[in-house]
Amino acid sequence: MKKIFFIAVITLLGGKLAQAQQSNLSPVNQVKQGYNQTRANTDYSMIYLKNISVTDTQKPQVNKIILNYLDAKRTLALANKQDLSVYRQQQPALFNDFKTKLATVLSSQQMSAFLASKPPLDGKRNLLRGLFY
Amino acid sequence: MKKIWIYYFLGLAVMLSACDRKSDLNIDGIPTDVRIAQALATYQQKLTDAPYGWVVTQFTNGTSTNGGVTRNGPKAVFSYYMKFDKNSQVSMLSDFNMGAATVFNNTGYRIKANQRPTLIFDTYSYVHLPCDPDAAISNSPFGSGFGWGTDFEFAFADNVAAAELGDTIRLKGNLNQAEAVMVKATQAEQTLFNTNGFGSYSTFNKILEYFKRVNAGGVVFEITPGVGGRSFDIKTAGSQNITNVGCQFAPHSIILQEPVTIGGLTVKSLDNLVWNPGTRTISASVNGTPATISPALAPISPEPGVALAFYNEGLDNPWLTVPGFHISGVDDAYNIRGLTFPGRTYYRYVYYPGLVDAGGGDFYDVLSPFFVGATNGYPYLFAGGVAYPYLQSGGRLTFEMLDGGDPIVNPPSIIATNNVFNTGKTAPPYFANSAGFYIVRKADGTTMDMVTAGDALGWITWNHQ
Repeated sequence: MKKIFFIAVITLLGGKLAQAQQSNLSPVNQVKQGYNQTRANTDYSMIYLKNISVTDTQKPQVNKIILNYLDAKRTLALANKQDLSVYRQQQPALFNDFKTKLATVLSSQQMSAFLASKPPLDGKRNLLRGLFY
Repeated sequence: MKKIWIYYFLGLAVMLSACDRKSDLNIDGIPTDVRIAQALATYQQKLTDAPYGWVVTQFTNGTSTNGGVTRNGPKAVFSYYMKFDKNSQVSMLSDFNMGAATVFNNTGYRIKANQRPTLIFDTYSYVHLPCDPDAAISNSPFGSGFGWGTDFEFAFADNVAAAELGDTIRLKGNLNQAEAVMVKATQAEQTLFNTNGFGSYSTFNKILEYFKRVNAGGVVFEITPGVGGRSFDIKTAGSQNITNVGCQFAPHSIILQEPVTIGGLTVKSLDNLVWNPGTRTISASVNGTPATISPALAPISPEPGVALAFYNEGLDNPWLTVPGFHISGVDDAYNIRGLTFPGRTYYRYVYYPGLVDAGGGDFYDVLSPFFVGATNGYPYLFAGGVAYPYLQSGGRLTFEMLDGGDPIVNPPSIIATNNVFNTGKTAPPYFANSAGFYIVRKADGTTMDMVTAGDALGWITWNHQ
């Protein structure tokens, strides 16, 4: 009983502290932190696999694979923003790795549908471009 | 024992004499309470005895205080015409907005003895509008919970007896220390206020475009709104100097707080403003020289590279705003401040460049409202809040708002806002390609206005607060 009470108090204090820290953040930092939280909680299957029926079991795994892939791509792009030829050279390897991981979660039918959704390189209005290139 | 009695009577005598208040607080035999009441009555009489009313100008000092917290921001000037009556009612006009500039408001006032004799506007009036902590009302750029740093309780600050007050009375705000000057109006001024209200405010704001071009005898300069819209940013052709100056509206004139010298012309005021509906221009005079104020669709002297600088500055330091677009004279025209989402509270509209992967090493921008109260603070991001930016000729920035396929339904305010971002115009007809936006740096150097290049009728103000 004592332990439960102790844990409850610690949780409550921790929550208050987190809340206080958040409210102490400058508007810019609050907005930035909020974007990172949004990224971590976004359902990417809805955006990048929108014409594919993804089950509730598959969703968290798919979302994690996509998020990790996007992070790796971003790191590569930012490291080579002065010379994007390096990015273009190394991105296909990242994509292949991503595809392999995705194939462990999706069925072959779902994978085929996903690969068929590849937009053209100049299709800059299509957010799927962000995954394929 | 005897000694004890002596000390006892001595102490009693001292105590009783300390409690005696028979005459030392009286002056000329009049008790303090009566003198205070008389002084307050004299102050009121001074106010009510002005037969044609008062012209009142309130100057802020660039700070705004609420709940013991003080914030810094732009200075502002607010003008009023007031007529006090003996029944503690005051009728007033104000240059706060178009309605207040022409429609009289009746409200209560009191003269009260605080630490100093104080004039209190004690029911909500035009004086309270710029004080309102709700930025949707005050349009204050000081942030949520803070007005413009104006006051509605003022101490008489002339340091003379009430009876000696003249035709000019100085006041000082009790909370924000905003200074106000009351000047007795003339009969002619009263007639002008009664017929035209703050006519110069109404006339000047008939030009709805962001860029207003003044030509006074061949001397040309541009006026754009200062941060918060209560001052002018003045620029000339070929120069990147921005002069910010406070402006005071009068029935037919706009008086600049400090004279501004432009091409050999010292501009103290813009006088005799008359609206010409046919040409959509304003006739005026500057130092007696006839002048014309016209709308313009583009900046007189665009800052080279400002659009790219704006984009780059936002890469790790997002641009923020609370209100949405000012459209055709209406602040926050789509009521972005009123945005709601279940379980969340609207916080800021965000322009955060270079965040969403666009493939090929490119990135899209985030141009979407941010909410606090949940892990997903950008609920509308993938429902049209991802922007593809393009840098166009002439320093314009255009956006294509992309739909990520999130089935969440955008409210009308976001749909309307995204439409402006997409087209660079506030209303049809739209061009085949977006007109985009001019980025205009303000005099404080840190605030940027994004102005619709298609019609200059819409703008949104970005900073990092």
